[in-house]
Amino acid sequence: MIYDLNEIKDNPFEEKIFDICIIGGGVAGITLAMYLKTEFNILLVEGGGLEFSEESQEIYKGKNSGHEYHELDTARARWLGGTSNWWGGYSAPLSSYDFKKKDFVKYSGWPIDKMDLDPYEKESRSIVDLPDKRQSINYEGWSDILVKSDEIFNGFEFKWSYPPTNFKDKYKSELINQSNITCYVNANLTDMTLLDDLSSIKNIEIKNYKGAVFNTNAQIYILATGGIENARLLLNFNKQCKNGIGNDNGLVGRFFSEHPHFVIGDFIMDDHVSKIFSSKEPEKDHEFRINFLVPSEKFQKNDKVLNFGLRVETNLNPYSHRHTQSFKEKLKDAICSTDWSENTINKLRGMKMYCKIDGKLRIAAEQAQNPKSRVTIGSEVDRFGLKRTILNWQLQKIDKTTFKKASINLAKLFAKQNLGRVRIDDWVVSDDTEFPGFPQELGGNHHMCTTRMGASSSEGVVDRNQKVFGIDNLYIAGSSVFATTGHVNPTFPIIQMTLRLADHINTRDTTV
Amino acid sequence: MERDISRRKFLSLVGMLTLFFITSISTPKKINDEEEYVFINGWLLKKKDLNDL
Repeated sequence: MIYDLNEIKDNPFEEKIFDICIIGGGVAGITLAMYLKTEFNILLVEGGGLEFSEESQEIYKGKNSGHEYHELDTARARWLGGTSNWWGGYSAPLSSYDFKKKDFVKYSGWPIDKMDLDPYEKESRSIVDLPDKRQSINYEGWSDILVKSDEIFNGFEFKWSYPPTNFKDKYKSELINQSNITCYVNANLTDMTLLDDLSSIKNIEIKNYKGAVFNTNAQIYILATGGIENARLLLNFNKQCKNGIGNDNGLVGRFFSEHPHFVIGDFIMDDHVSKIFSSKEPEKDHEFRINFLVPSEKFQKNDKVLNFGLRVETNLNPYSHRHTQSFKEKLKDAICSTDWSENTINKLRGMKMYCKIDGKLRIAAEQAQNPKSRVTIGSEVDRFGLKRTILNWQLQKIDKTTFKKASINLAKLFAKQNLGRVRIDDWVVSDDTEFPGFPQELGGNHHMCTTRMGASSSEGVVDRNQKVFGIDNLYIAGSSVFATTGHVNPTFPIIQMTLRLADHINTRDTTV
Repeated sequence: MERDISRRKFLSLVGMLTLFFITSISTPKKINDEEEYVFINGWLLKKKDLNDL
């Protein structure tokens, strides 16, 4: 059943001990509730309501102290269903190389590998309603020309459901009808109390928006509140452990990672490629005028670059008159397109001149693990008295080197195969570690690695089964446990990992 | 009409001079010692492209 904690007066949890308490009703939390065995008596608490509300969403407010970033209360959705209420639906698993230790990337490597998640791929596809048919984000023909026999880039395909699967809509009836699940909305986790020996969570405190406070007990607790919020909550719960729960080694909140999203250049096409685009209508819902490229494992190893998804997006179509211009004419136009020359010519002419291009290059990349990129808590508090987030997002030299090598190699590919020519933005090829801010896209609102998985407590906050090191009955679910990010959107790997976590809990002894 | 043509010729001349100026002051950079490519104003070009400019 789903209850609204704002409407509850008497303590509904008194003298009850649930087998499992899941905190957070987003993708990970709902998946857990659905896939934990029905013998378990499960409590699912969600801080938001059934729909958006300002009083819930504003809990996410915080400060950005590092690289320019989105306002934190706009980055994730805080009501039942979590960010599946507004995600894009693009789904793909991490690659096997994403899990490997790389000698050129400090803190790389997972204590599990892709084979540990592969058994959950099929079910994950079903959960997010991916179609069996082939979907392609790549423009057919263009893809073949671009990556055929290339040793640096591989083609890549996401799958997606349309509309994107909304977990609240999909599973609401199960949450209402499944007798072993009790779901409370407007139920905010505000504290965790450990046993005196600090080995386990004894109980948790939950508040509604009307000031009522409730305590509840469970054998096992699973924190699934999001990539920033998981860390913020653990850091706040410091009445027994001065650094917060699970933070003996100071790792909670560290290694905050995004998928940096940037436009890195543009391009013009040679005549024979322009003809393809200007003669063929794009087929809706099947192909886009985007070519999606990823680095081969060999390129990553040899050139010491991170994983990335490079989008080659053309604006040519049968209705543009651009294709009437020859490649040589376009090249002459393009070469004059510095800011200085454009401004000078525009001033002389007294009118705006556009140096035309045929498309843009965008990248969404893996971010190298960086302990200085982190979530901490500040002095400002939310309505429940919990300190708000300070996000210090930091990128590093290797992140920029990845963009630079990706764009230069694509530019060479264009020139070598006479596909066209590529212009790379100045900041990408500069040797400093500066990155642009808005109006660039900056990130995908993908918050990862703040309670990362490690082989030991010196490397991570959770173990290979997502259990917090040193706490017997506390698990964490969601992208905060990623050890590294790969380049794919995090939702699909979150679901795979959550199914694996459900399997683990289904087979463990729940008695603490 | 005559004035428009003169203006166009003037602007065309200015444009050509600007293009000449930009391409002549830009220092082509070698990339990884590969002789066939040069960077000009952010564009990665083949050296032989310069003949077409």
